[in-house]
Amino acid sequence: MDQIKPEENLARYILRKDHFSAQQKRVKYVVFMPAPNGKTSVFRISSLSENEIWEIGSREVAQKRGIPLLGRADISAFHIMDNNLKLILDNNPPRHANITGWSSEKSEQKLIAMELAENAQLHLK
Amino acid sequence: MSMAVQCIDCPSFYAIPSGIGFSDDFKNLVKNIKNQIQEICEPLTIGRPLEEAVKSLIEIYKECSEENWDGYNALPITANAFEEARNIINLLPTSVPMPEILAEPGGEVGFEWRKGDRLVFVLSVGGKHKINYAGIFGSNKLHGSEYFGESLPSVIIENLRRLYS
Repeated sequence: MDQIKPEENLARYILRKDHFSAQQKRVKYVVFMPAPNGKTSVFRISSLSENEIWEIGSREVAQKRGIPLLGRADISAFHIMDNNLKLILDNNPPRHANITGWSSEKSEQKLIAMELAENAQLHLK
Repeated sequence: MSMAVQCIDCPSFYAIPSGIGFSDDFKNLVKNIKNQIQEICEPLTIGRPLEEAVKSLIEIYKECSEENWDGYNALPITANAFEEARNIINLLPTSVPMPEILAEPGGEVGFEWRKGDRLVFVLSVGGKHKINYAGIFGSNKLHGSEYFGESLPSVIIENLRRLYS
């Protein structure tokens, strides 16, 4: 089965304006906090062009929710694995994966989400 | 020459204890004190960051009080979480900058103070009298939770002091 390698890049698409600071060019920790199902949805973007990366976000995330796509947080899979989280590839839709293995303690979730945000790069649409 | 310095450990003067009296006289007293504080703050700039923080909180509550507000199935911010977040704003020491206020996908209201790269402190409340917090101070990291009532737990004050010292 195909597995995500540490050197791969992943994108978390951003749909809310308060989830990033354009002025400080950074994403905020809430971008990576897990959903109530314990998963953070991301897409594999290594080897894709900028246009292709934005196209995935528009088609698979924004349009399906009827919300405009505002940006994305790119992060290396290494940082996710380095924080003892797991990356589960489901390819549904293609290139989709979930960050799982979050602690049940909200304070620890926060700390790890903060670490991921510190290592992520903001790209604005 | 002498200079007034704000004590970081001192509670905000916006915070008025509510659970120490139940009579009509006490309620009237609290109402009068609140009015007096409002009158003092109105012509000055000292009340502005607080007002802006409350305004930001109200906006977030309006936008995030229904399920799936983030497009990723987030839980709604409840009225209890909103009230608790408003209390937190009132309890913050006046010497600490107002935080950025955020909705978290678990239905909690988050407060973020960021001084620079790897200098961040975050806390959240969800209407259950519990504060979840986490901080990155360079290569040092911490996280934990504390129950709270009418004052901010000392660990929160200490971490804010650590960030802004």
